Amino acid sequence: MSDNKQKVILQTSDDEQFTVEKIVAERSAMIKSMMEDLGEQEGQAIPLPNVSSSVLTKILEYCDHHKNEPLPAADSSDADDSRRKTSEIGEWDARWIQVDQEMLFEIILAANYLDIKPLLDVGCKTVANMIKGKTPEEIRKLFNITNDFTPEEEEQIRKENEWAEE
Amino acid sequence: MSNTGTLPPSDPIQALGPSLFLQVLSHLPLGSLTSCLKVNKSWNDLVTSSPTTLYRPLAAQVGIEPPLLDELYTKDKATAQSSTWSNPNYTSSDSGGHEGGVNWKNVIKDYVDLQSNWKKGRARSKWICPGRNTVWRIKVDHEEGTIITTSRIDGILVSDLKTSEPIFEYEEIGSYAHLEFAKGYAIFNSNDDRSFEIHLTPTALSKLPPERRRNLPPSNRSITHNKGYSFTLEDHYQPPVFSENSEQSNLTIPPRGHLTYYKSLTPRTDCFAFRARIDKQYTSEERLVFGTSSDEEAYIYDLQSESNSEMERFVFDQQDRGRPNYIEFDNSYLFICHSTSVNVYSRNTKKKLITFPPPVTAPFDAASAIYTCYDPSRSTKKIKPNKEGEVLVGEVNVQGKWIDDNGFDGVMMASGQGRIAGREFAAVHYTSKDLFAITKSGTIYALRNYQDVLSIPNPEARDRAVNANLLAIVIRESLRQLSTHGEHVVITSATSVFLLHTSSLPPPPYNTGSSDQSRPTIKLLNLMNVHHKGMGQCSCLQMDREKIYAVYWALGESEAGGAVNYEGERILPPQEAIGDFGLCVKVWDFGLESSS
Repeated sequence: MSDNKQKVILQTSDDEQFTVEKIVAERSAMIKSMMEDLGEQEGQAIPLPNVSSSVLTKILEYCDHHKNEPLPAADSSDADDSRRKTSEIGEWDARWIQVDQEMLFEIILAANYLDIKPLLDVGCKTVANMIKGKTPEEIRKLFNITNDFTPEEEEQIRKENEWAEE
Repeated sequence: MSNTGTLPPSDPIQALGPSLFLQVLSHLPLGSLTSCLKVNKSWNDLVTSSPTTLYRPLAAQVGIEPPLLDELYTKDKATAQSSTWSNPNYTSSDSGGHEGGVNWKNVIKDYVDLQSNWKKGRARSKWICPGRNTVWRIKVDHEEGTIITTSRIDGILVSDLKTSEPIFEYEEIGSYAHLEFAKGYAIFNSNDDRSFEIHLTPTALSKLPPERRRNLPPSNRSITHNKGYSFTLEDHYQPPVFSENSEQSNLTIPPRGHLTYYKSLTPRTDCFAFRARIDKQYTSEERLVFGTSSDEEAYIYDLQSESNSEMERFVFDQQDRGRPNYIEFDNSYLFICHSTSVNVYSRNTKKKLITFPPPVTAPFDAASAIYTCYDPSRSTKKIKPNKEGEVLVGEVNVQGKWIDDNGFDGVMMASGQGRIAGREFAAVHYTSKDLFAITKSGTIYALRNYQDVLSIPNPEARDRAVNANLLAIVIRESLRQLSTHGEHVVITSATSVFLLHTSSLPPPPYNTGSSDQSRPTIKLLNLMNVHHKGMGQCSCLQMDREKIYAVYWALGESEAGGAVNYEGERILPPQEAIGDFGLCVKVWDFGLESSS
């Protein structure tokens, strides 16, 4: 009980400090292992030089919501799970991740850095869902990308991939 | 760094870096990946250089069969020293390039091409002519590379699949024996309808535990084994003698093509229809089962158990008694074709769940939508083959006609079938979601989403769901054989071989139709390199992932001047097919070389 209420201090790239419950911070495998390395050194802040305070605020919301769920196994690599189930994004997660594109990318980068696998998964699926069903031109527009193919190259790619059209 | 908030959208390859963006792309279906290839050069490079990461997860999604997948995964694991797949920090190029590894994009392409060939009817065909061309039923054993045939005269023959050269002949088996085959277990009815004999291929025999193998009956007295092309009594093949003292002979496995007697089953009652299949295939609970039906009862046996008594027993209601025409079952349900209906039983409760089509006494509106096609031979549109050597295919468009146009009976009468005659059921099989049944007078019934329908607990709600999901396609031509594989359905009639894909059926519900609603058209393909004089004698139809095998009368086709190709030229069956009785196997192969 008292163990669950233990706090930990996180320090962001813009030097803001966040005091959070240990059980929330532990959603991040990276923070969890740092806490284990640091031991019980009360009051020492864990530096997160790659995460800004606005992104961390957002991510802590996620961690808080999911704090009572079992942590994914330490090494749940996909090696034997090749037929992995492409589970849908949960309802709460889907609403929570309705952010602008820049924030979405920042969340994915931070989730990767902090090693929060389910969050990384939600982020990647969200971007994938934005791409799904779109034509190449719509995708370019979505991400502000310039088409650098010549018409001949485009025709070549079209021919080679005719079999895999939707 | 994140305070600006108004930055223009940016390319995720730069924003996330290639390795994280690859994780995004690995969630995309095939069509979206193809769109990504066309975005620009850097996207194209990323997708092209990562076939394993991106295409491997799609292999199961597009529907590649689990045994083939397992084989590929094993091959992949063996060749990839350090699989990038298991490493979350993807590098920008992955194992797609390593020597001998699986090229997952090509694997998917081959599968997609194969499915597309089935849908378009792109195939090549050839004849297989086992034995003296007296074929009745066939089963193909891919493990051994053999074809097992029963005969209209007598005996069972095991021949080489490629050359048709006989390897073993089993005499003294009566004519017209029905044959089932699964996992190396061959089952046929003995000379009466009282019992079934089960024989094992060498592969199946080698998988038996040694103690089981040691205790097999020495040989079945009704069978003689011959070796070589000329079958003489002096050339008996001696099956290995198992004895307690000789460890070595216990392990002897007979040569390819040999069938070892395993056991006989004698059900409580005379049985007419039977069927072998694999329960819970591709799971750890997989087991080989055998179902058979008399006019009063049906039984399912566990073939791998040592017990000779049935595992499941179904007793028919009084009004359902009568000689069954066909039996089929899946993991949960048993399907029996009676003369005028198909009855479905729960394998769990052994109770009858539904009967379709609705009983003849039902009011008109109890029937479902009816699609009719009068005389398909005249409404077949020929499709020019893509490449030389491909078979001539025709397209039959079956025009939809809703039930209240004429009423169920009206349509059946108009199509010349009558109320009862339209219901002589010949066969029943299923695809992943749909149950198909055919009648000898020319109707294809499709019960869509049959598992969902059958799982409805309330009987009245279940019957209503049957009506909403039952589609009748009236071909008005005697239908004989039915086979399914994946989402493909093949049906032979007195004149033709039809090919149907479940995606070409209009979606249910079907019982809401009225004259002013749009009438969807169902597309059937007609494999046209057959002549009806031969096809009328079609006695067996088999299918696997790439091929259709149909047993029919080559001699009749030859007498009638052969089939006609696209240019109108007559193509005769080869001499070896015409020889003797002329009952041979035509094979359509949809696994053409990739077109690129």
